[in-house]
Amino acid sequence: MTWDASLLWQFDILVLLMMVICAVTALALEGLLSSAIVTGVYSFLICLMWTHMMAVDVAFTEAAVGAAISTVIFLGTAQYISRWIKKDRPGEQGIKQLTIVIAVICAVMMLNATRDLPDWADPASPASKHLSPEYIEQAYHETATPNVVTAVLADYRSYDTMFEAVVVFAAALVVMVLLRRTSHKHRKVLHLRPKREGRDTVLRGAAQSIIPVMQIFALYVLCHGHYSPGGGFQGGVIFGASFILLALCYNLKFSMNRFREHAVLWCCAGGVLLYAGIGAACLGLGWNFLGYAALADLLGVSEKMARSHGILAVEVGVGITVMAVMVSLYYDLASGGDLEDGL
Amino acid sequence: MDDLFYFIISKYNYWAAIVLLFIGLFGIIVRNNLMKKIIGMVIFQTAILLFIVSIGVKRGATVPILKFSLDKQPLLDATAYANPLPHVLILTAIVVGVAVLGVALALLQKIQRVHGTIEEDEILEDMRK
Amino acid sequence: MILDILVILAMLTGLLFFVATTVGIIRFPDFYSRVHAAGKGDTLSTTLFLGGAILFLLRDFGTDTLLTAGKLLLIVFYIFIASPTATHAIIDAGYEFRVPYWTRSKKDNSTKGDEESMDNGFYPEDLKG
Repeated sequence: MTWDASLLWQFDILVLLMMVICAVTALALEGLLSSAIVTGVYSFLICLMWTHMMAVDVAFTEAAVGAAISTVIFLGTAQYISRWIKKDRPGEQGIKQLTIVIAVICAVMMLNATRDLPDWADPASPASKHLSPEYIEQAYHETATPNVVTAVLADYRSYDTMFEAVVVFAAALVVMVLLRRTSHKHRKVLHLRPKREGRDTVLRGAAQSIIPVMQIFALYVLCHGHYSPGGGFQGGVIFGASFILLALCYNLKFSMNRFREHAVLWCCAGGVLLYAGIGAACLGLGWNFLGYAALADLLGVSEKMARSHGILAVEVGVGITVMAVMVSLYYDLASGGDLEDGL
Repeated sequence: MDDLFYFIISKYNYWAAIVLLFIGLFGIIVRNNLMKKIIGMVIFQTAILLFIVSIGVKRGATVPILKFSLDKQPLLDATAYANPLPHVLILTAIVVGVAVLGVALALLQKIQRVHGTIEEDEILEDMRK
Repeated sequence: MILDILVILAMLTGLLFFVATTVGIIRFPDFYSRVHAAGKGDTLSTTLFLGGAILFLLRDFGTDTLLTAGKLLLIVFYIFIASPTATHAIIDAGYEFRVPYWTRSKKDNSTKGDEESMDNGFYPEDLKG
């Protein structure tokens, strides 16, 4: 067996080494703000790794969600907690050494077990043999969607996606239940945060030129998910990030006047309702739950095109929910719950 | 030597995922500060996602978006496209991961509000009072 | 042939500016100068490097390579707007938080590290009295 030069292993090993260094640094740094930024760098590096592995949808989502939204909510939370960790205490040494010993033993056992795993990038590995060639070959005939990942995500495995939208909606609700309170007169803010007076010209100009383009791009990514990497999640996250950018360049009240809290909640719930509603409509018309071919008579197109349109409608639902959830997470986390003043 | 080289080349992605997994686990168990535990959880999650996506790679394969020949017929050779099933799973996992991160940070803010600190032993002392 | 030389030149210059930015971030003594180096150096080097990539794409003139080159041009334009804005926001935030300026220490004329010279570091608002 030979390996050929199409696998750029030098690049992979370099990026993986940098990721390990980032991970160790993020855990060892004393300042929590620096740790949050290094975690953002780690997310970017893993996004690069996935692009190299030809997983472009995954890389797109990780870049939008992991590298951007995660870092913003880390930084938003860091206003309300103490920003330096205390030094190591004597009682911690024992646990540290014991954990290192156990971790090394377990790691050696797992590394030994990788001898039985299939070789990397082998086209004949079991993961690539049973169901996935069927999906690749049947997806275009049955759903008219060249992007096989979108077809599998929104049609063949649509239950998973629906419950993922529900999970994300539940997370937004939980954060709101935990943190939301009326504004306090004597707000206990840990660090001096000067109020932002007025609007800075540079930030205002940049926001005015970037945000409309960002929103149109988000809609493009959502609608073009059938033909290029993208889809509901990525489009929804970019749209939500445009509102977060508005809140960062002006202040939180400015963004909240344009996308109020109750509108955010309506959108969160509305997206999930759209998704489940389409499923229920398909059930009502006599097919399976989320079997989009039922909509063929309703829309007056062939079964193949009905499934394609069903995928689009479902992606719109997911996009609306994800957008509203990202905005709601930012509103609650970056203002400590009282929605007065953000990052 | 050639054998060893080939062995490393064919397995290094699994090794990297395992090393990152244990770094994340180490962070969750050992570090006293709750924010570091959350960062350890993020590292742990992404290590597992890296492992699963790397299973779907095929030598010489391209992005799982179907290419079309000149007369609008799709080229349907399954070994020419990367395996799309792990991608779908990981898409869901990333978004759920950020939802979990949001809830964890909300809990962190609440703990700071109630106990006044985010170091684990000081919280335990505060709870015993 | 000429296009190849231009591509290599653009990418090498971009790489050189990246190295210079990194050295600047590590070696400059002050918060403001470090962020300044990061902002300017990163924008210029990314523009040059992606410019090289655009020229490389234009070697064969087809509709899809023109489209890709156009999209890369849009990315370059976006980075040109967004990166200096982010730098401005960081430096503004540092100024609001009263990060002191660095001065050369008065004892000896050498440019020592941060810790010694920041004793003489001043914040301009304080000087106005």
